[in-house]
Amino acid sequence: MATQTQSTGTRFAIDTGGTFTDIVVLDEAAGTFTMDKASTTPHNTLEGVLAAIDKAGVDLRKVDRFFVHGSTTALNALLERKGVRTAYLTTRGFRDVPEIMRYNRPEMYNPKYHKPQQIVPRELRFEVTERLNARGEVLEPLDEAELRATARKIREADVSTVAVCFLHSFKNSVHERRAREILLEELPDVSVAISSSVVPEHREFERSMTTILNAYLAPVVERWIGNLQRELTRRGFAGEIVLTKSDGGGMTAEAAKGSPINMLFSGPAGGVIGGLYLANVLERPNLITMDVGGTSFDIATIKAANAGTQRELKVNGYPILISTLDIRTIGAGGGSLAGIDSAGALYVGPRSAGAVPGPIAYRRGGTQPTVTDAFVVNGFINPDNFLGGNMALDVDGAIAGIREQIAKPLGLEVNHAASGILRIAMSHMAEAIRSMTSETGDDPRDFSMLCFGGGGALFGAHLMDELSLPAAIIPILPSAFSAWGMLMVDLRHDVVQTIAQRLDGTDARSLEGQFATLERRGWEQLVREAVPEDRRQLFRSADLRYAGQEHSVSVPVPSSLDGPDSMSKLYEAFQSVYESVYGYRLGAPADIVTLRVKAIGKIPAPALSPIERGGPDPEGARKGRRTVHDFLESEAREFRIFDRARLKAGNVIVGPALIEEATTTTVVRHHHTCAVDSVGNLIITRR
Amino acid sequence: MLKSATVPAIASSPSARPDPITVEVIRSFYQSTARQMRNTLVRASFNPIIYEMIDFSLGIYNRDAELIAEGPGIPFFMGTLTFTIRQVVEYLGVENIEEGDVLLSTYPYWVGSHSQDAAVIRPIFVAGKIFGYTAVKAHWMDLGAKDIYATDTTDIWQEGLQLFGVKVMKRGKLDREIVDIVRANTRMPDSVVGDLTAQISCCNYGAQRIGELVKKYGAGTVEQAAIQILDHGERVARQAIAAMPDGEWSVESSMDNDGIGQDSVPLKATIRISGDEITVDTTGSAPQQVGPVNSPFPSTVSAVRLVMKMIIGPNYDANEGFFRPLRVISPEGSIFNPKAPAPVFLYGWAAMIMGESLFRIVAQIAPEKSVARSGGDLGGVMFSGHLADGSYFAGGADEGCGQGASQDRDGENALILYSLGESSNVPAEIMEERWPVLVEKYELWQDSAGAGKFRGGLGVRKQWKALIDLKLIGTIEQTKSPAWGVDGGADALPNDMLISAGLPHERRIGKVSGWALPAGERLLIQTGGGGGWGNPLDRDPALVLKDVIGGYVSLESSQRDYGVVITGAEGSYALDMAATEATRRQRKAA
Repeated sequence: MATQTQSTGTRFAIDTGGTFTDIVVLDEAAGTFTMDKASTTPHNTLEGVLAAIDKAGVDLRKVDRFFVHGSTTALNALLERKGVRTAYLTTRGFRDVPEIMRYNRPEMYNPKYHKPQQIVPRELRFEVTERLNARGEVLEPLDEAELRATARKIREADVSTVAVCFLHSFKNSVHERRAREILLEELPDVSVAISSSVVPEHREFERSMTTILNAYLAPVVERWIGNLQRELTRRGFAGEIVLTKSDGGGMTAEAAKGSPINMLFSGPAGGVIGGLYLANVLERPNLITMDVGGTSFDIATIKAANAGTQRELKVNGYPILISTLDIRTIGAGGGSLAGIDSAGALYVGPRSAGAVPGPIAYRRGGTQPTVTDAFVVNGFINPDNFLGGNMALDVDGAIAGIREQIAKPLGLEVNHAASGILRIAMSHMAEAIRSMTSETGDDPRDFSMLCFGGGGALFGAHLMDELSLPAAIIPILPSAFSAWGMLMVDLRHDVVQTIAQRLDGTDARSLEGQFATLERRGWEQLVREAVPEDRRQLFRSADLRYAGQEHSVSVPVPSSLDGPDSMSKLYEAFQSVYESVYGYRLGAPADIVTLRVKAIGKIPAPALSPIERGGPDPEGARKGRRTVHDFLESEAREFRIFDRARLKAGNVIVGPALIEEATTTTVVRHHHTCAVDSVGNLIITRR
Repeated sequence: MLKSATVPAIASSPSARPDPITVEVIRSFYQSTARQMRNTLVRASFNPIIYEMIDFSLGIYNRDAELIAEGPGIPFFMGTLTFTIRQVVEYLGVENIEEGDVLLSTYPYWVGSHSQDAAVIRPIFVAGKIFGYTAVKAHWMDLGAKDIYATDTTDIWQEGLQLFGVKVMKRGKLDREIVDIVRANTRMPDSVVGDLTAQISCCNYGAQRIGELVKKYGAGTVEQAAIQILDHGERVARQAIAAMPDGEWSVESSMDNDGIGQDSVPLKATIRISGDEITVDTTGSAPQQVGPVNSPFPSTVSAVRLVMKMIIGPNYDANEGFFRPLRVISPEGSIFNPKAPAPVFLYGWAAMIMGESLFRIVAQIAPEKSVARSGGDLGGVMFSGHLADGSYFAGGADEGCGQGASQDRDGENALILYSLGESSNVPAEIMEERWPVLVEKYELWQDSAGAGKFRGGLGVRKQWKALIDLKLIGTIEQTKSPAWGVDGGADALPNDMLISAGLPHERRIGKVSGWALPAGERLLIQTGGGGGWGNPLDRDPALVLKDVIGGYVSLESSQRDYGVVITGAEGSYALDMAATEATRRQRKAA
């Protein structure tokens, strides 16, 4: 398989966003990147993917690796409820667990709050007599005759798939495995998913929902990937397809077919993967990644070159027990709408004009001012250079919109009103970052900020000041950075097992045996994916908590648990992680809840090729000057304008300045300098 | 300070009102700071009632103790700390409070709930004077009560350690003696002192952030902005109230008993709307009770505030201005404004029940904003015992109930009561991992909902077996007052708890303390369904068929309550439309 070949050809990545499908192509011999955008085709995203490939003029015969991410196939199927007809089988007495959920009201003040619609209707939820206790011991054997009778009912219900989840099956899968055998005998045309192999973790609602969603979506994703493989093959592609997962790792097409839940939220992951790569390259191990798109502002923290992850994902109100990057989102972006509410206060977002009708300046029918309009009005965006000059902006329309709808009612100058919109949008973003870091006990001043998306470079310098960050970094290809980041992904598989027992009653040898079993499963998966042995890596961790608590923390576990004090060392490691998260240690007995093994198949990352070197003076890239109303200043200033494509490594731009490229503009404030590094990243710092 | 932190000239003049942009930036800063205070508390607290059940309230206040921004906690505590701050500061004397002092109160009549809800208050000083406060109250595991939870107390000293208002920090220094008093009065000293420390950190964090805000914009600008933030909240509320009709309406409800006696306890609330102002008056409710169901006035006000927000501003970040057009009247000496030392351990129930009854009035005057009633209780059970190795354990769980229908949709099944927000269940696997019980049944309770054109949601049936001898505390209420329907919608089935279920000595009990449940015996909880909306005979027969196929509604009920005739056996149910129409015509004529 292509994983074993050396990196000499072409690889490319595609990110399907809400509006555009971005493609980034890497010529591995030259070390250069090119990007293109095609329109996203929501009815069938494959069309947009193929259009982007055509537009970029990629010769698929020369491509050894193709990365897809932000593939919205699984997510759309869930949101539009286009999965397959699924039945559910569980322990007698518990068929309503998926509908009861957890009782909580995410919309606390809404008296009419409703849970998400059921995936499996109640009449397709079946029970069978069987019972294990919390230690996994059989209290009541599986009633096989009863199950065969139930299977006949399931056959009459005409379902495509059955999800099975028995109580405590993560401790002992004997009944689930036997149930699968019987169901497959009785229902040869139906696929069967058992919770102990999809996600052997405790908490029956979350485990059952994860199993149900996987069963519900698998056929849809399988079809989509099959179509993609067929189309690419038809065009001469003989390489390997890698899909990104919500946890920032990658998986091969075959692995993805059986595990669609891992693709659900892969959209924002690419930017963080790119951030992890740059954290090492730039030797800035602490980064906040921020992605300003049309409708949303996505942030994540990278600490000591590691991205924060969570162990549960919520999609459309449903919990899914998979590892996922900890990415926070608020409704703030270029399309965020500004207005005055009925009681006279100015607001910005969270509603967005989206791609259609979009900002007023886009001439697509938008009539209410947006953040982008405010940038246009205050001179940040060059109306003649938008999308490389391919889209003429309606500056007068944007001015009139802000004047009539914001400035006049508030009695402000139009530029002050536009500044107000930008200040409010920025303060929402700053507070989102403060909230995220306050949850983990971090100080934002210890982080540099990596700014991407269409609007990241416009807000980066101001956010850097607002949060007292040491630097803002604008990477190359900022508006397609998520696709770019994809090119840096490694294969990753998480293998987990909940054991939920007291640590002081746990024997090191048996724990070692359980980890070894998980490692074998992860290793075999990498072997199936043809990852060469020297690129396979295994990492152990365990979730521990103080006995009786619900929340656990993830603790790294050594690759071999031997020696008399290995368990006390594990306890000590737990206490120290706990203290770093919660600020204190209890010294109380601990539970060891879940064992995890992360199996990594390294894909050699491409080398970034240096750009041409120049001296500190950037005048060769100078395009002109423009009057800009910096939104934290009361008076307008003259900003020098530079062309990013003509900047050379070593150039130092002294603010105030704007650096233009086809799809975005970088702001360098009057008290900032911006250095161009050897590969073309822009590093903004205060003077 | 940063060079970039210069503020545009339009906002920097101290004499001028700050422009609307600065006001919005400052508002967003306050809101975000309150949320970050919440993060600080949740991260540092020691007990799951705080970090899982979110049983706390916190906010940022101006120098008059008016709420500027509140962090999301338990909805039931909406705006409650204003009372606490005013009482404690008045008690200590504002002239005796110095920079760096942190105040602590556990006195129920000031804190507004039981003594376990300890309130910590941090005055914020600017230029030597009090500029505002940060404050948080949070439920401690145990504080000086006869038991960790109680349904049968008769005065506040049986319920917990009483502290009116003491300085737990004096000029920035922790007072070890105060901490020792707390430590000596709890069965779980490490947890409680840890929570106290977390609350102090939370308040200090908020105070520090407000200090940064003042440094950046100037005290005058921040103060002026706060005035505008409150005025804006007031305008939002007044507009919404003005859109409702003027008039006066009353509604009655009741509690099963006061935890000591057996008599039901009548509750009454009257809403008066005049222009853009609203009054809620609980006159006519029972006098204060012997048992612990009395609701200190701050909790009464909070319950009413919560319902007001749910009805007119669910998406608005509430502040004191938002509540200015609301007046709450409760006669002194009544269950909603009791006099010390009347017991208050179960302070929440009366106000939650009265609060939910207000939706019945709203269903008449603004039906689109209302819902029929829910099951109305938490199905709360706690249990304790000694394990084989002699160690003591205590556990417990709340349950969800059926929700009321609205004028265009069925009620939701099995949700926690409106006043508890993000509180969750304890999964069966977790119950069995932690405690010696075996859950045998956990399902929706068929036919528990009120019928209607739109029916209520179903309650749950949960049955579990004790594996060792247990002692029970139950707080089940509303076993005699089922959820009401609206506009012809039917009532639901009420809450129900059976102890020693299925045995000759089985007992039906609501509130109970220290009841013995021997090993091998069962407890069955059934939580009430939600009320229906509209005449059940107008329900789309296809929806009734769907409910019968799903088993939400029984075949008998489809005929009896909905007048729908369904033929065929299970697996092949079908509607007989002609018979259904005939049945319905006949019933409507009768």
